[in-house]
Amino acid sequence: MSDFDELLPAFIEESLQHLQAIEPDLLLLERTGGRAGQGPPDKDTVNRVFRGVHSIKGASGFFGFQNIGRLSHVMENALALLRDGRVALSAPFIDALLQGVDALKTMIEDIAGSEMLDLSQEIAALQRIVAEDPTRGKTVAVARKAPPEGQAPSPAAGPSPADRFEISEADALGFMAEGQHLYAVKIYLSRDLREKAKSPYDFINNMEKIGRFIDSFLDITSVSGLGDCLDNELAFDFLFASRLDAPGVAAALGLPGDRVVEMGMEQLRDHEPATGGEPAAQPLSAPPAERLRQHFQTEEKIRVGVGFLNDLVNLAGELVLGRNQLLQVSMPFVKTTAGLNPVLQHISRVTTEMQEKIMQMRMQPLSLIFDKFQRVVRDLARKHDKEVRLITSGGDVELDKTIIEGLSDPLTHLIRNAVDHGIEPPAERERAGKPRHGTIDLRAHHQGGQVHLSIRDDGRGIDGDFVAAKAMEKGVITQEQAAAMSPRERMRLIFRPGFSTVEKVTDLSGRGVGMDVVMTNIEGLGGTTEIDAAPGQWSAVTLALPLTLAIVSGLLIRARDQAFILPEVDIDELVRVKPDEIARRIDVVQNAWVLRLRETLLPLVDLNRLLGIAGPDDPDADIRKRNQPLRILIIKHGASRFGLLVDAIINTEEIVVKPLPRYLKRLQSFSGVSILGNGKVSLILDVAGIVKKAKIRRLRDLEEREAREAAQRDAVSAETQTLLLFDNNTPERFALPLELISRIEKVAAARIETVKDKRFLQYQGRKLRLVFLEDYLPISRPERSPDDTLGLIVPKQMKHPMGIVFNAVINTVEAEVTLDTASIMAPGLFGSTVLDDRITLLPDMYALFEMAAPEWYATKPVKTADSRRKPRVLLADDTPFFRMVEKEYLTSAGYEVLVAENGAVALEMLEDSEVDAVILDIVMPRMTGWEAIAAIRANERLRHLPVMAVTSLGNEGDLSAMEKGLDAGFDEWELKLEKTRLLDKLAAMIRKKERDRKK
Amino acid sequence: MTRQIAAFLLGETLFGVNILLVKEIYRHMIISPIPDAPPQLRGLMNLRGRVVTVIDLAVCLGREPTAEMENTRLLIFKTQEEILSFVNRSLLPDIALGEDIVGFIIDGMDDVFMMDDDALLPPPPNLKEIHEDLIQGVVKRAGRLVILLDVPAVLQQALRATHEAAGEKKEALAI
Repeated sequence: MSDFDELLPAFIEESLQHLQAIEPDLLLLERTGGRAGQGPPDKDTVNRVFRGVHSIKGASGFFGFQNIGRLSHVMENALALLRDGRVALSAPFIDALLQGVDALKTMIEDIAGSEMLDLSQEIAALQRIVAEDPTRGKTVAVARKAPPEGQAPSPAAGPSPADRFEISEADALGFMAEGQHLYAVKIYLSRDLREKAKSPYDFINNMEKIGRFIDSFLDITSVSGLGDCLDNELAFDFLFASRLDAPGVAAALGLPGDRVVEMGMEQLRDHEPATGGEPAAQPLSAPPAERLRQHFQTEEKIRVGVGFLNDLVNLAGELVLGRNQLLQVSMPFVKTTAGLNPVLQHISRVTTEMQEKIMQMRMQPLSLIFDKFQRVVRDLARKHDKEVRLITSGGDVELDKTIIEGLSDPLTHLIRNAVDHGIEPPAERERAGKPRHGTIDLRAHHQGGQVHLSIRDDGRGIDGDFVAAKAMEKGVITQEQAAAMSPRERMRLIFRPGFSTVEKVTDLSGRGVGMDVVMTNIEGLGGTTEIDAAPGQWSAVTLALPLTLAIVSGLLIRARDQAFILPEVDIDELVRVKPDEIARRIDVVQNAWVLRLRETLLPLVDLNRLLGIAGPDDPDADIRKRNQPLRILIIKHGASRFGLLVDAIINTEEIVVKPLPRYLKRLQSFSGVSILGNGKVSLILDVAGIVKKAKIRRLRDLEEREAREAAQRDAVSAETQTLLLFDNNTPERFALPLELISRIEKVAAARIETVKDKRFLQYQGRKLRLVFLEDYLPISRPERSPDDTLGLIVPKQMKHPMGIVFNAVINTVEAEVTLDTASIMAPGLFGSTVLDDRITLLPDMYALFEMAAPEWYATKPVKTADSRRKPRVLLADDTPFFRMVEKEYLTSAGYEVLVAENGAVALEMLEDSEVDAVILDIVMPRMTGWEAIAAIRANERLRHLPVMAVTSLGNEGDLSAMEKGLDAGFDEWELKLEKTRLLDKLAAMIRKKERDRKK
Repeated sequence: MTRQIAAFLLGETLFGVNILLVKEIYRHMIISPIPDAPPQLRGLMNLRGRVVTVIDLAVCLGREPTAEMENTRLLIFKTQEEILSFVNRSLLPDIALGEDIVGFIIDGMDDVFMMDDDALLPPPPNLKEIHEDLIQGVVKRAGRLVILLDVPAVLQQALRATHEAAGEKKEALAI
């Protein structure tokens, strides 16, 4: 692709925009200033027109569009006279200018034919105006410079000042009198524009910031043929006036120093003057634009106003609505009316497609804003003597125009921050062992119906502690709050209003928007902001944005008798809490409702109360007293999550978002409105507003702190357990909790004695019954010979001595066991898990014993006094594995089992549920078995409950732990984990209590 | 200059508005209430795919909220954009109607009549129940008094009411 192909569309687009703005301004001038006796024309308007024409002239120079350049040059001269008050505004003047505008428009719209247009009339008309200038005549001169003879121009050969520059002597002297220097500047289209993703207008605008662009000329000598013209280095020479010195100009324009050469009056005059005030129309060779004729065809386009487009979007929305209504209404007739269904489907499909196409018209690529950052980064880096490289990807990702526009400012700020605060000076980077140049990585990609944008730099990162310290200094947070914060929370402090990590506000960050404004802006676009960093290494801000603001997938929910919409992107999951779980899962912390979701606490917001439609004396006000299942949406907002309690979830619907009427804008809870399929207007809930209104942030801090504290406690007695890994001389691997094992022995296979079909081993003076895994489990059968040495596992807590035979111990591992009870399941197995990357079977020893010796281990179903219901046991154990195993044992014996993860949860459950007995583990997070038994015995209602400890605390025969336990109030003390003894003791304990109560 | 007035009833009182401001009169309203909104804002309604903010005019004029909606009508106004052509032709003063469609709950339409600007009288002192800022004046019509409403002023009042309501509610929420 040639430089032209890439840059030309932008030139055409921008030129037309200029012309569009110029025309009404000219008309305005004519209306207000053109009539006699009405005073001078409005200066601002004249300047605006002047700048527009000036820009077109400059940009056309990049493409060698001589006709456009010539006409705009003459127009500019005429406007300059008007601006300086040297000619009066007259109707013929405006006519001439309007004719010029029309001619420019014609040429730009048919750019390939632009050189063919005869401009003599337009130019003559303008010349007549210029001729009215009383000061004209001797002052208009043209300086002209020819390329050095015989020197082959090469792109790298430094400045080869232009063939011709035009400037009137008076203007040149005028500039110099003002202290401005004149420079010849050489630009290469490919190197200086295309590779830096700048449009010609960008370049001209940039020039205009530091001085004034006067004239430009295509360096024809650098073009030797069509191929060159399209693909090689095209060069342009600019005449440019600025107060800056030559190196300053080069720096500001981002050019090597040797491309800027100062032109004194001598250099300008050095060469033969032109024949008139008009540049020679005859170029050295055919203009490139002419040669482009066949090559470049502007794609046919129609320019459509954004307002028109928005109407179309609205109508498409209405059509979707009508389609939905039609489908609803005609559904009952589909079966009885032949041919209706295909028609409906056709309409439905066409509607969807049309709406998508129309929405696409509003979509714009992110490259629109990405491109300008190259420049921003370069300039900033230079200013701060840093070396920074910007890498972008995903510029082709498209977003709604509104979002693209809204993104520009926050993204600019984030990029500036990265250069300003993120990337270190080169020397510092080298000291830190990093490459001298820092890298900013700007990426966009689609993810889950959203666009994710990340801005990542490999700079000094963000030190959460430093941020927290600064926040305390500024009084944003208190010391306690800071102490309770996680590292990421501390980083997120930079999003708080009135916070900046840099003491001295540089001109970069001090541009009005802080990080809090970035976050607010992004939220306004329906997006979220995340930050992450490693101190000294990198920092990254990630923005998640919706594709469009106009159509979203929403969840319809009911609060009281009204439907509301919640955008689906905000919803993490749906939770249903059954009435019997409410007491356990809903809690009050610091006067606020919280929901227990798995191992975390989430703030819980009652939508009815939030919206003020619950009523103060609502019987359901106390969530915990409700006897209906609770429907809770888990809402994700940035890093925080909370539960939103709603009355019902209706369904999901694609909704057309309409803006909120201004009367509703101050009500925090809503972000827009929509019309539902049933024709009713429904309000769209605004998650950000809800967070603010319900003051969720504070709750979130609390929740995180609790979770963290719990995690610290858990770290001690975590859910990990030690497992013995062993094999059976087959490919299978097995594991057993070490807590269940009393001893591991090695025995010679020859010592095993067989009595009938049972095998025994003489062991510590007793006959130990042996269980071979392969006899009971669906596993490979190993080769056995009398010469083997076998392993023997002797479990703890055996009423009847039995041992499990295996081959060899592989290892012991600490692991958090996630038990899979689905993929591999058989009697005698707890299930399987993955340990050390291998599938590992977990044998259920007691089930094996039951299979091997039913006479000893058969489970007797439990009986209670009240035979109409099952006895109910509350089981508290923090290890999921044991919880599951014990529950399994109890259920098989006919108990109904409630489970709790720790003592605290168990106590909560006891408050609301009647149970016949309690089984407590001793070592548990949040509330240990010791604390729990003390609380039970202190509670009037609970104190007679039979409670049993089942623990791995203490060894067989070690009675001190057991004594302590009984002293503390336990009725029974049992070591983990023998099924029959557990069940026997439990049944005995319940019977005894029953007898005691009867007495 | 003359203008055409659409007269309507609210309770027993006869009010009038410039007919160029009126988009249409609507029956059979299905209104979605707005939680947290002040009583001036009755709710939102779907008018052929456009959202209408329904304003309880009675509340704006200092009366009790409309209780019975069965026989009421909705007087729907044009938007700023829709009156633009009248403004450009100087048929209407350039007033602030806003971009949102709004409707007033009224009890029924009366007749439509022409009036001269000269016929506009200052509100009599016995009209104190209605804030004078909301009234342009009164006009006599067939022996009855028609109060001409200043529609933008009523809208402004409704807007202020929501701002105040939002301000008050901010601190009132505790769980």
